[in-house]
This record gives sequence, C-alpha cells and structure tokens, in this order.
Amino acid sequence: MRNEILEQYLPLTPEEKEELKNKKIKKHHVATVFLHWFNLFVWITELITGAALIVSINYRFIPKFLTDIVDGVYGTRANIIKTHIFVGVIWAFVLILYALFGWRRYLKPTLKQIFFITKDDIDWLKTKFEEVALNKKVHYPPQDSYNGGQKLFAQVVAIMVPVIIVTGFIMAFHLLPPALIRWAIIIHFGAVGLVVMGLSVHIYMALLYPPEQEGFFGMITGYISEYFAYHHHYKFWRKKKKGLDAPPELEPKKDWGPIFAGIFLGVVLFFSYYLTGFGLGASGFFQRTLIAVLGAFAPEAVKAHPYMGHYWGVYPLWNFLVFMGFGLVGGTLAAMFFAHHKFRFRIERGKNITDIQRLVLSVIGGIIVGFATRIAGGCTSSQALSGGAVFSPSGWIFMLALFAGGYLAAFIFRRFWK
Amino acid sequence: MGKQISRRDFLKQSFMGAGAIAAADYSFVFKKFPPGKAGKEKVELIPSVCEMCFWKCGIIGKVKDGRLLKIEGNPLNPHNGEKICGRGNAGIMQLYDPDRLKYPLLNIGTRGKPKWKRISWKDALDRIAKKMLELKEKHGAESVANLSHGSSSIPMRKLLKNFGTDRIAHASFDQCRGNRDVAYELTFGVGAGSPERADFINSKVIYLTGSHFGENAHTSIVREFIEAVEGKKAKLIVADPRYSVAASKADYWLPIKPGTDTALILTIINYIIQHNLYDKEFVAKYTYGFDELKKEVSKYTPEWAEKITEIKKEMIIEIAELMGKSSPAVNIFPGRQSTWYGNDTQRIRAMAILSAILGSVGRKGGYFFPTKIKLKGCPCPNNAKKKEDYLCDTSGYPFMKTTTECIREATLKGDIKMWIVYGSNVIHNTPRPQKTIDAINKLDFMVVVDIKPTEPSLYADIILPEATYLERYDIPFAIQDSRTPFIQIRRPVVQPLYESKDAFYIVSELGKRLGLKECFPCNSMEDYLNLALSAVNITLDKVERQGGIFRLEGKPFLDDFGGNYKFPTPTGKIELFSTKLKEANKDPIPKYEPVEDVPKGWARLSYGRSPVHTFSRTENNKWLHALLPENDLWINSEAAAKMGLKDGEYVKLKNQDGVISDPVKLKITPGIRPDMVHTYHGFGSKSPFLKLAYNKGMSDNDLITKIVLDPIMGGMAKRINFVKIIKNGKEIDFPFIKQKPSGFKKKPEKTISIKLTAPIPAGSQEEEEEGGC
Amino acid sequence: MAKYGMVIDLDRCVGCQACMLACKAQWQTPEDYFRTWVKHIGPIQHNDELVLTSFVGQCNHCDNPPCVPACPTQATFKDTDTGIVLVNQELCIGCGYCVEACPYDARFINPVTQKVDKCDFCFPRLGREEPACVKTCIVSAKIFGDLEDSNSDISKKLKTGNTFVIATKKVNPGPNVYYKGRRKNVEAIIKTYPPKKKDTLPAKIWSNVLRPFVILGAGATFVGSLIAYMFQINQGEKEEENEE
Repeated sequence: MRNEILEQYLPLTPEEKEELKNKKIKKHHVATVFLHWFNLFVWITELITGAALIVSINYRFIPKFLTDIVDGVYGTRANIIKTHIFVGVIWAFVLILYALFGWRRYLKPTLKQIFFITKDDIDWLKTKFEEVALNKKVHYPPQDSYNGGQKLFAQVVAIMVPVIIVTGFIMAFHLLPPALIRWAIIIHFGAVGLVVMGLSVHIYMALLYPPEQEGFFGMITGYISEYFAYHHHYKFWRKKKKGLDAPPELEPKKDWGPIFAGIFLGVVLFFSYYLTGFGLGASGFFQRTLIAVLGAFAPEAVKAHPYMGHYWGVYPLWNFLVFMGFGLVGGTLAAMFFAHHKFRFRIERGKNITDIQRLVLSVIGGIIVGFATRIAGGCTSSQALSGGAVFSPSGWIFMLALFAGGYLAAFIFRRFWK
Repeated sequence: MGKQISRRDFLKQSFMGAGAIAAADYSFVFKKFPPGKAGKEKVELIPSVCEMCFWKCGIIGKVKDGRLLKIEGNPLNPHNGEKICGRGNAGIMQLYDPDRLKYPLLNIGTRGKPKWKRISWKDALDRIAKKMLELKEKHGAESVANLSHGSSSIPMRKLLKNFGTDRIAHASFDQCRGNRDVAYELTFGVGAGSPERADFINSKVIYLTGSHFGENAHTSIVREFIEAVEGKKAKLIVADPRYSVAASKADYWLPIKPGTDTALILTIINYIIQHNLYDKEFVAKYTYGFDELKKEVSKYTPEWAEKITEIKKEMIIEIAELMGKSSPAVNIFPGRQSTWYGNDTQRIRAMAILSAILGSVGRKGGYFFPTKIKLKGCPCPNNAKKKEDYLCDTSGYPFMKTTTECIREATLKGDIKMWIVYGSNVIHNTPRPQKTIDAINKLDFMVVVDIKPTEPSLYADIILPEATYLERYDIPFAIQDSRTPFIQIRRPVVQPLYESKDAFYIVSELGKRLGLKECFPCNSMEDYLNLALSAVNITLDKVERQGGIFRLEGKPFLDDFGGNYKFPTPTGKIELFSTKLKEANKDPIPKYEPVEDVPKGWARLSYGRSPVHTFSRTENNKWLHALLPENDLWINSEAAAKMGLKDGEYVKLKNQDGVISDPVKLKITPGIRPDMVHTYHGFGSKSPFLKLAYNKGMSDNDLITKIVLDPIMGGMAKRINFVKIIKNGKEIDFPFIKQKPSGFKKKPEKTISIKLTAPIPAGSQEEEEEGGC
Repeated sequence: MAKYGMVIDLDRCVGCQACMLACKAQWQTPEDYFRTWVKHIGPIQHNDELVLTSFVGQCNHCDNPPCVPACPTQATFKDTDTGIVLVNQELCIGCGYCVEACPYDARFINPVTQKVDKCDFCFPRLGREEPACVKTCIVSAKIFGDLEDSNSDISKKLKTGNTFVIATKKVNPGPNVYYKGRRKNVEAIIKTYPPKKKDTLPAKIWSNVLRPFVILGAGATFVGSLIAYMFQINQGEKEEENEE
C-alpha cells in the first residue's frame, strides 16, 4: 500500500483494488441496522395508514381508489386510525429508548456529523448535480461516513421526526385545545411531506443506483468492503485505517464568563415580562405535568383532590409555565450542540459518597424543594428571579433566606463534597 | 282504556332492538319508522307523574340498573301524552342535584346563619313531636301552623287537622289563583280548576287577559291552545301590555294600560248587550240577574273605554262583534296567577259574566264542567276548631281562607309558636320577605320539609329531607278538571337517594309519636292507595298494569245533562248578579274601580313565568340553570333610549318604599309599554347552599312591599309596586311617554307554495323582490 | 334508501326549550353544550311589525354539507342510507375543522370526550322512537320523517306551503331542516343568525399551500429518481470503469 494513498484520495491500482475489495470494514453498529429496518417497517405502515386517513377532497393527496384499497384491507376506518396511533406510539417509544441509551455511542456522534457540513459536502452536492442534471463526467470530493446528500436527508429526518412525534401525540391524545390541534395536524402533514420528498431519492439511491449497491448491503450486514469505503467514504476510511481524524478536532472554544449567562438571563426575563406579562418559572411545569399524568389515569380522584382539583381543567397543560418547561429541552439541545465537549450523562457527586447515596439525597432534597415551592408559591426561578426582578418583597425575602439556607446547608453537608 | 297490556309488558319492558318492540306490540306507543341500527341496552319503563310543576303530566322513567336515564311523556295520559316540557325533561337533575338535602339536619347555629348537624330520623321526629306536644299543652294545638305547597303536603295537613290546628295556608290561594276560583265559585258554583277547563280545541275566539301561554309551559293547555290558534285557526285576542309569545300569535293584540282590564271587559259586555249579540236563549234559561247587569254596565261605552284603557274604540267594537258572532264558541280564559291590582275578584267575575252572556259555559269551545271523582282516604278525623276569624280581621274579606298573611300576623302577635313549612318557599313566594323573616324569628320552633336547602331552611330548627317525586308514592291524583277525567298514580321510579323519605313515612311516624294512631293506620303507601282506589273498584296493581292511568267517563258539557243542568249556586243558575256578594255587602255586579296610576318618573313592576323554571324551585337545577341562569328586565326601547340605558347592562331597581334590588340584566325591546317593566319571578335566591342559584338574577318579590288585599277574598295584590332604575349608584327617572290609543291586528299573509325540490333560500333579497316564489 | 329531514313550524313554536332539554337528557351533553338550540329573538322591530320568535335549530343534515370535506379523517360523513350527517367518534381527532366550517354553528367539541358532537337526528333511536326533541315538543312544532316518501307527515306538511330553509344566495349548502311560518319571523331569524361561510386558516393553508407543495415536491423527487433510473438503464453499468 502506497503511503500517499493515506494522505490524499488517488486512483487505485488493480492490485490495490483487489486487496481492498477483499477486506471488510465495520460501518454500522447492529443497533443502527436494527433501527434503520424498524424505521422502514414503521414508515411504510404509517405512510399507508396516514395517507388512507386523509380522504377529504380538500386535503387528499393520493387517489380515492388507493384509499379504498386500504379501507378494504383494514375493514373499518377506525382500525386504520387505531393502527396508525398504535404503531406511532411504539415507534416513538423505541426512538426514545434509542436516544436515551444510545446517546453517546450512536446518536450524538451521528448528529454531530450530519449537522457538521464541510466544503466537501457542498462540493459533493454540486458535483452530483452536475452529474445528474448536466450529464458531466465528474470526480467526487472525499466524503466522511455520510456523503453530502445523505447528510442533507438526515438533517431533514432528524428535525422532522421529533416534530412528527410531538404533533402526532397532540392529535392522538388531545393534549392541546382544538385550536392548536388544527395546527398540529398540518404541521404533522407538512413534516411527513418533507421527509417523503427525500425518501424517494434515498430509496432510488439505495436500491437501484449501482454504485451505492454495496452501501445497501452494508445496511443489512453492518460491514462494507474497504474498497467501497475508500471509494465513497474516503475520510471515514482514513479515520478507521490510520486513526487520523479528518477533519482535525477543533480547539475547544474558551468558555464565556458566567456573567454573560446572568446578563442574558436578565434580558430573557425582561422580554418575558414585556411580551407575555409573566415572569419565568419552573416548578409549575412539574406540578402541572404531574397533575396531567395523574389525571390521565384517575381524573375523578384528581378532580376531587383539594389541591390538584384546583388546577384540573380540561387542559391542565395549557399554561405558560408548561411551555417554559420546554426550556429544559431547549437548554439540553443547546448544551449538546454548543458545549458538546462538556456534555456528559453522569451522576455528579463528591468523593465521599457513592452514586446511590447521592441519588437518595437528591430524591430527599427534591421532595423538600417540591413541597416548599408549592407552599411558597414558586421555586428559585419564580420567587428569586421573577419576583426579585419586580421587587416583590416575598422574592427578596426568599433570596436572602435562600443564601442563608445555602450557606448553612453547605456548612453541614460539605463533607460529602470533599 | 283502549288496550290491555300486561304489567310485565309495560313496566318491565326491555328493549332488545326494533324486533322486540314489534313483538310486544308497541305500535300504539311509538310511531313507526323504518328499522335503523337500534341499540341493545336493557331499559325499564316506569310510569309515574311529574312534579317539576303542579300540572301533573304523566311521565315514563327510563331506568337502567337503578339509574334514571331519561324522562319521557306517558302516551296514555289524556292530557300531555308523550309530550313533556323542558322542566319535565330536566327532572333527572332534580333527582341527582348534588345540593339536595340528604339527611335530617339540626340547626346548632342561629336562625339565618345555620350550622347544621346531621341527626337520625328517629331523633328528628322525636324532637318535633316533643315540641308539638309541649306547645299543645301550653298554648293549645292552634299554636302550630303549617305553610304548604305541593301534592305531598296533603297527608301532613290531614295530620295537623287531626292534631287540632286549622292554621294551614297555601300560598297558591292568596298569592296566586284564589281570587279566580272565588270569582268562578260565586258565578258558576265551581272554581276555575286546575288544569283550567277551557275547551280551546272547539273555540272560534279565544280571549286572553295577560295569560302568557308558551311562557308558561303547562304542557296540555299550551298544546291545545296552539292547536286551536294555529291548527284550527281560532281567532285569538290578547290583552297584554307586553308583546308576549301569545301576543305574537294573536289576531288582535291590545297593549292595554295595566289595571284597566275590567273597564275593557265591562265595555264589551255592554256593547254585546246593547247590540243584542248575546245568547238570549242561554241567558234566559241559565242566568240570574241579567236585567240588573244590563242596567249596571250601560255606562261603559267604547268611547269611555278608549280613554281609560288606551285601546282604540274601533278595535273594541270589532272584538265585541267578533265575540258576539262566534257565540257560544268563545273562550274567555280566566288566567291563573291573578292577584294583580287589588280588585281582581271583580275583574274575573266580569270575565265570567262575559262568558255567561255569550252562552259559552258548558258549551263546546267555552268552559266545560268538572266531573267529580270520589276516592276514599284513610280515616283521619278533623279535630280543628274553626278559629279563622280571630286570626285575621276577616270582617272585610268574606271569602277569605287562612292565608300566609294571617299566619304571619298571628305569629308576630305571638299567637303562633311553631311553623311546619312543607315544600313552600315562604320567603320567596310572599311579598315583604322581611316581615316573614321577622315572624320566623319570633317562633319557638320551625320545621322545614323540603328537598333542597331553600331560604326557609336557613331559618329552620330541624330540616327533614323529603324524597323527590321520582322516589316516592303520593296520594292518588284524581284529575277532575278534564273532558276525560282520570286517576293517575305517582310511583317511585328509583329508590330514594341518601336518607330522604316520603311524606307517608314522615306523617305516619310523626303521628305515632303524637299519639294520633287513628290517622294513617295503613301499613304502607301501597295499602293507602289500594284503599283510596277501592272507591272506584280498582286496585293499585291494576292501575299500574294499565300504565299508571285509569280513565273514567266524563260529563263536561251541558248536552251531557240533557239540557237540565243546575248550577251549584244559591239560585241554581249562573249568578250574573251575585246573591252571596249582596249578602256580604259587596258589589253584586262588578264595577270598574281605577287602580293607582303610575306616578311620574316611576314604572310599574310586572312579573311572569319562564317556560324553563317553576317559581323559585328549579333555579338550582343544573340543566335549567344552563338555559336560564338569571332573569332579565324588560324595558321599553323608547324609554331606555331617553334614559341612556343599553341592552345587556346590569342595573338595580329601587321601589317606592326605598327597597333596592339585586343587579338585573336589561332586555331592551319595543314589545312592552313604556310605563312598566317586566321580569321572571323566582330568581335571586339568598340561600348559599344552592350553589348554582345563589345570588343569580333579581328577586321581584323583594321589591313588592306595598300590599293591597283583595276586598273579597284577601289575596295579595302585587302589581301595584313602582320602581326606578339605579345605574352606577344614580337614580334614573322613567320618562313620561304619552300612549296613543292603539290595538294591532294581524296582517293577512299570502300562502306561498313551493316545490319540494327547490326550497327558497329565505334570506336572499332577490327572492323577496320576485314575490311569488 | 331514505332522506330524513325535519320541518319546524315556527307558528306553533312557543320557545319553551323542551326540545333542548330532551336532547340533553338523551345525549347527556355537558352543562353548557346543547346539540339543538332555541334562541329567543325579540320582541324586536322588523319593518313595521313587532317580531317575537325563536330560532329553533340543529344540524341541517345538508345535501352538500361543508363539514364533510372539512373533516380530514372522514369521521364526519353523510350516511347514504338515511341522508343523516354522522360523526364516527373513533375517527374523530377533535381538531374542529368541521366546527369552524359549519355555517350554522351546529357543532361543538365536547369537552368530556374531546371529540366533535352534534345532532344526528337521534340515530340510535331511529326505527324505534322519534328523535327526543320531536317526541317531547309540547306543541308538535317539530315534524321528522322521510322527505322522499310522499306519504310521510313531513312531506304532507311541506306541501302546505310557506316553507323556508335557512340559507342565502351566497351560503346554501342544501339544508334539510325546513322552517314553516310567517315570513317576518323567518326573515328575523336569518337577519339575527345569518348562515356564514367559514374556513379556518390552517384548513386553508393545508388545502391551498401545503397539499400542492407536498404533492409537487414528492412527485418531483419521485419523477427525478425515475428519470435518473432511465438514464442509468440507458447508459449501462459503465461508471465504475470510467473512474479508473
């Protein structure tokens, strides 16, 4: 093997080609393979049932005879919607498990790669366009484990899948008032539409485009030949082969001082008051979510409960505090993308205690805080932050008490953190 | 009874789809439709009698697993058939009202601000009996009074008479229809009846004095009225200062000046006599005192009436001629709530006289006769001494019965120590509620028997929860005021909820404790009913098997008596000239007596019924509350514009005695005279235990503080109270708007026939201009 | 085959609202929700006359119901055997497009089931009893029956003339609930409660923007892939060699 091969992408000699063709290289983990084909099954079912559900002449997008066939297969139209919801829920469940347990090994690296677009990716798209549309003879730039086209499609899927799941749940379980279900349904439809647009290219490329044939089998076995990797995914091959990281990892950015976080939080709080008339809050989200979940199982008991009944309406989640809860999701996503070198799933603890002890203490602390917030009418966010900002006496008292309590607790419990 | 159905078929019928119904031959109950996708639920049908109001419609409860699902009309009932009104439909919510009285309660707080403690029935009845015996010992049995309303209060009244007191008053007499019944008794020998015995279906002319059919949803009479007016095209004349539902269907609407109805009727009588339009044969054969009448009314001319009533004289003449031409099929309807201006007995006498000279008494299209039904009762001797005269000063009121006012006065004097209030909201149904409360506060003891915590229960020492009409038997209802008289039975549709008990239990247990064993010796209500029904040779079982209804033969018309009918009056004839009134030193022939005019800057307060509420007792019903949570105040649009009032805004009212009402919503409409305002009665409950009704709407009763008693029967006149508007704390005077003599006649309308396939879009202007369509 | 309809005789109607409550008892709708309604009008001045009437209404079971195409899932459909517009509760997702589309406001989202609710002419009672409102109407102002059967009560009533439907030149979905009565009353009803042509914004966006966009987009990629495949077949599998 010539050494320079490794440095840059060069045509291979027939011997080298033969040699590489016989060597296998692992491209996909078995979980990814499973997920891919599971997705295929789900998408086929959901697309067929979903399309068959939309039969109104105003919105239908496939001809009537096709929906009639599906009607015939399922017997009643109610079975179609039941299947659609059932499969969708299972899909969402599997995806969430995958995201939770495969975050570090699969999902995060994949997301990082597909959202990291290089010049080579853009060149690849240009080249592909030239080849297909202008029928030019072309030479592709080197690609990572996903080429430019694949990245583009993956981006669409990665963004649209959560949208589809959230809107689907809203419709299936009436999570929001009708006025918003009306929007959920068209967002659901549009998101699926975007995915479907890429899907036919994806299927064509995988099934029928000869140069990608090996990639198709790779998605079944998990392995591709080194030749295919060298040819189609040069950067990926080089990484695997030589342990060279191309592109080189960027120097971790220097963190901004915490003062900026404070300033931005102040700005957000200002706009929160200015635009909505409400301050920020966090505990209300948990409280209302709890009530909604309990209410889903035992509405009568919740209704009769002296405290929870007060918050129990038709839509207990229809409250600004709940929407602030989404800030948790937004914060997590931001951390993932902007501070990924720091982002870890782990239990933070002092050296003197075990993980279990740490979790038990957290639960006890959480229960105390939970009760306290309900008694005080808010947590640190709403009392100290929002309350303090509008010079509410309770907010300032809270803040002083918080610091005092904090120092006291630190004094007592500091040994855990030594 | 047209058809025999076995008890099992009727009562325990389970619907198993359309097929099962065909097998049970339900075709007479349910009109046939092509079979649809019928349900398979097992539903029991139980016939009973409604008590959402007093009309006694036959109902069928659809019950599944002991829970009442729906109430429908009993098709076998000759009056309402399968039709029931909104309140009847909402009876379920009376039964399942969460605010119901559930257990016997003892007030350990103060009167008006009660603190209730749950006690057992035994304890409650023991305490009541002990108190009654104690009072009997000290002050005599007469120190116990009873204020009652409704069919289930009858056993209690019997018990109390047996106990020895006659101080028993019904608001329905002195607050509602007593003067009407007294006037009819004086003229024809029998009262006007309930239901009213109007033969609308054969009438050619119907004359209403303020009766607002439709706004009172008394099923059968509204049905017959509409059938006559819209189906048979009878001419309808409505004298009402308000454009009521009846007025909207009328051929003649007379926006008469309030308080002048007697003038209009006497004028019509005079015109009919003067122009020989009366039924001479009938008058000669059946009436007494025609010459005196002729002489007495001769002064009432149309020209005079135009000035008094503000109705055009041409209109009066046209109406009088229409009546004369249509004689005897003319129905002069006596109305129901009629204690209005203080001279009401004479007004209704005048109406009765008009009926008589038109020959419409006991004739088709007029007012028919009741058929007496005699039922037995458990022996319960009346031990009460007649002591009415010293209760109230009845010297001026010859036909007065015990009234709420008498009991109130006697209580304030200290003669009465204990009230038993049975199903009657005495604070809401009798004017000057503060006087009632003052009287209650002087009492030693007060017992309230009710199904809901209404205002009187706030002042009670002990409250007994009665079973609702859907959970109890009642005494048999013998409906005499019908062309086909019948007996119907109220039976429990579901088992009593909570610890509520029926009247029979309450009275027999109380009787035992009072040592009155001879009263209600029957073991159960079923025994009592069987005994009562034995008078017409039938058993309870048989009536129930026949769908809860037993029909009898009626003799409603003069023809049924072979032309020899003797009226139960002293003279045996219709008394145009009342001998009894003459004896009592009252006008034997009605005269027009003007009532107090509306002072400048004020408006007369008028009130009426709503079709979805009964008095003050249904406002807490969840479904009825959803339809009409509060009453509104009708006010003339011209007056409102001058006063700067807007539709839908809330104002308060102040009456001539300075009483200020709860806030009320304004309804601004051209359909009312500018010198009056109108509202629905029964709202503005002050009981916080009625969670829906509490403080909703305005109580007209609070504003009625001036009372004039009818000189003949002592009924309380109520439409003599005047109000001003208070908006944002400022008093606003009513403007004086002079009324020209008026009277409206319905415009003839062309019938437009259309093809079924091409309906007319009625809203399009183009279609309208084409005319013919 | 039948076509059920109703005639409401406004001359007879006294506005007592018994029908509303019978309907409520039959269907147990939550407190403030009714499948049928009686809206009192007046007394108001109409031209030179006073009008006091009631708008007695419910679903009109139109010939061309605007709610049916508005429903994305066909939960709302017109039953071909009876002509009754029905709602399949299992298919309804509670989006309320149909509620917005109805010119008569005859539909609502039931807050208990969170699905759409409306008059279905008491479909489960059909063949056994008259609809609850018709049966209880104390003045027999509501007449229900088969419009296609010329011997039915309703057909006979319609032949007597003076029958209208609540529709205008602009909005006429072909209602099957007829109104009989004096012209001034019907005019007052239409003036006070005119039928409205309505469409929600999301429904408009869906049918006018999103649907063409998705069909064109998905179609274009599909057709593009197809064309590429054609080329590929034409050229044969030579690409790999070219690279060397």
